[in-house]
Amino acid sequence: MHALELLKKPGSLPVKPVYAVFGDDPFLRREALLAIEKAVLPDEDRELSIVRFAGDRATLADVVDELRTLPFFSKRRLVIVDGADPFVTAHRKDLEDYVQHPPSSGFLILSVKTWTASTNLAKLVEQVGISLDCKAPQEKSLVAWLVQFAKSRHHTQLDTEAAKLLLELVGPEVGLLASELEKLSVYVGERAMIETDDVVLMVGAGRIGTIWKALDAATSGRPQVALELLDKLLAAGEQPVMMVAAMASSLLKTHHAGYLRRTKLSLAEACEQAGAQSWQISSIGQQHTHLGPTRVDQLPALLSHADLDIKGSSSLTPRAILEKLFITLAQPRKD
Amino acid sequence: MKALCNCEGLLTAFGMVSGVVPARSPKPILQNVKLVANTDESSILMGTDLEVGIRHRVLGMKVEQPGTVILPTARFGSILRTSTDQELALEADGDHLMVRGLHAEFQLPGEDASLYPEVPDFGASAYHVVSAADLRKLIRRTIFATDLETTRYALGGVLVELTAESITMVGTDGRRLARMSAPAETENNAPNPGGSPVIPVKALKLLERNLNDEDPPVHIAVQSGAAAVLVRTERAVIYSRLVEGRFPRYQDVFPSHVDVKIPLEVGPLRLAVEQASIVTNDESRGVDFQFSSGYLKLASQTADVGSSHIELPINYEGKPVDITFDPRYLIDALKTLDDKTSITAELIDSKNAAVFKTDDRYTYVVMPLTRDR
Repeated sequence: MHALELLKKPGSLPVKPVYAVFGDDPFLRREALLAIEKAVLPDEDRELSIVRFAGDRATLADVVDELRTLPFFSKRRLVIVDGADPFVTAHRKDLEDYVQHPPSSGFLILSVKTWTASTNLAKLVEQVGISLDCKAPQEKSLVAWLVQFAKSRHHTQLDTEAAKLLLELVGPEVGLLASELEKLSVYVGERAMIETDDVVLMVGAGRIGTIWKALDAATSGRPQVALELLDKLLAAGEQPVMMVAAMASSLLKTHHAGYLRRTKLSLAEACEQAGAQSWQISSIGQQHTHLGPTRVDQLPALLSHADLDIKGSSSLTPRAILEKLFITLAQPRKD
Repeated sequence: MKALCNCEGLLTAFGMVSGVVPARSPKPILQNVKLVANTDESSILMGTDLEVGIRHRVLGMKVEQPGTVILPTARFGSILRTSTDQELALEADGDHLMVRGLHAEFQLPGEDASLYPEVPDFGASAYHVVSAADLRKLIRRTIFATDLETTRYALGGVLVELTAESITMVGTDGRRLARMSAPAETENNAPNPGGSPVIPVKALKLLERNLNDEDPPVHIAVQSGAAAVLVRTERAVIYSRLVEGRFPRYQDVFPSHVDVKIPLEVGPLRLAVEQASIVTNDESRGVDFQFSSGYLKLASQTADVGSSHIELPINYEGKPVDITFDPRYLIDALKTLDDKTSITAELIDSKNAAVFKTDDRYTYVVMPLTRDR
């Protein structure tokens, strides 16, 4: 099954003793793993029943004994072997035996880069489990998927022409498309309908890049650069409300990753769980360093205030409100 | 600061405090130890990584000029360990620290002591009181069951439940659970701490090293607002932030009923389990336990490594129970008990948690390995 099919119908994944997740699209891999976790462990506290192993270090006994240990805090135990290619290569025969006699309460995910369908192990997994293909999809299938994804994930209707334009502007990378779609859905809000004009406004003509550059400058302590870019954006007719929405889609991930880092996740893990793309990790790390934990905590409140102020809660002009926000972000940290 | 220090007293305190000091830190000052020299026998050494901190009394210091000084952990530790002198003279100005013995003299660079974060002192007037021997036992018997590798943060520490009459500590890694209770008292009607305070393993290891069975009672104050705990022992005050995250509802893992109760002795049982675990293979470490009338038989069979069959006479005449365990989990718990201790195995069958209990309120729950293989 291709992971795109899975995303169309979230919650439809059947519970199986073994899953193989393969392919190189990081967004699809993350979504596939999340879908399996939700299917196998529908309880809220599923983290307590998930054990992860690194495929290059895990021993067979570690993994198999974990799977055969009867569950403690829930009815099932989910074991994920990340980067399982070397693990599969080293223990292919034993895994074939395991797949034929899996325990009733232990569930295994082999997360691999490559998965050859002609191998005996892959055939056995097809019989008793599910393999989820997370390779980057063909471009032609993406428009229909975008429309479906907007509906299922964001409860928002995406016009087909808007989907085509989005694809043209963003390119075929599923993670980026999903990120833009999330931003668009935040922007349209209760209207719940994304049209071509919205895409033009939010994703068009490099403006979004300028907004992010301005945000990067502000969150790395370069207020002068940030304010110059803001001036250019406003002079080009950019809507302040849209700019706050665009900034929110980025800064909320910075905030979420900051929260997760406080609970001792590494930067990369926190960014991944916060929904950031791999290329955003270093800039989020720099933002955390510049902003400091207190301001990272306050980001949702700062954005919310700016949004409300622009919409009429403040007597300041939208330009002044945005300038104030940028200056607040650009100031040196105090904690 | 100018003082004459008893080398042994300083080394004892330094050894305890330097265990907290991080090897690397974004705040380099934390890689040092702070000495506060007072004329009234209240000199202390401080160390912290901001998560865990300790203030340890230094015995035998004759302070001529009080003050504070930053001691570089590695170098000062080496000086103390290699010194043959009974006393060392410490003298610090703003730029340097001089350490002098009879035949040795060291000049170390000085650092600004005001940059060193203050380790909180024990300021609570209402707190819980626990015997040092009991607290040591509680830590030793629960700490091994935690999981430091996991992203499930609360499992990286031990849950502490304090009431006016008792202290209970619980550690689990999701495969086994260790719980022990001991008597406690309150001073000035200390309230029971709210929430589920989980103390990190690092702090508990530090605390255990600070305790001797014959020490006077230990004072514990949980600051729920500050999400921290302070423990006062005879020689030190230990501060620790509590672990974030929710501890699982551990009460649910205890079986509501048991079918059989089998009395065992720790020493022979541990030896038998260790013997049986010698022959386990790469695919599974599971050892089959057969409890039957008069005997416990332990068996492990592998295709490539061989097999083991161990018999242990037991005082049991009930129905047979077959169950498979990862022997490491049993050995971990049995190692914390004296060999002569009596322990009771409470079992249902191979698909339910096995419970081991001792008379001193220690309960250890292990999930078996499934036998459908």
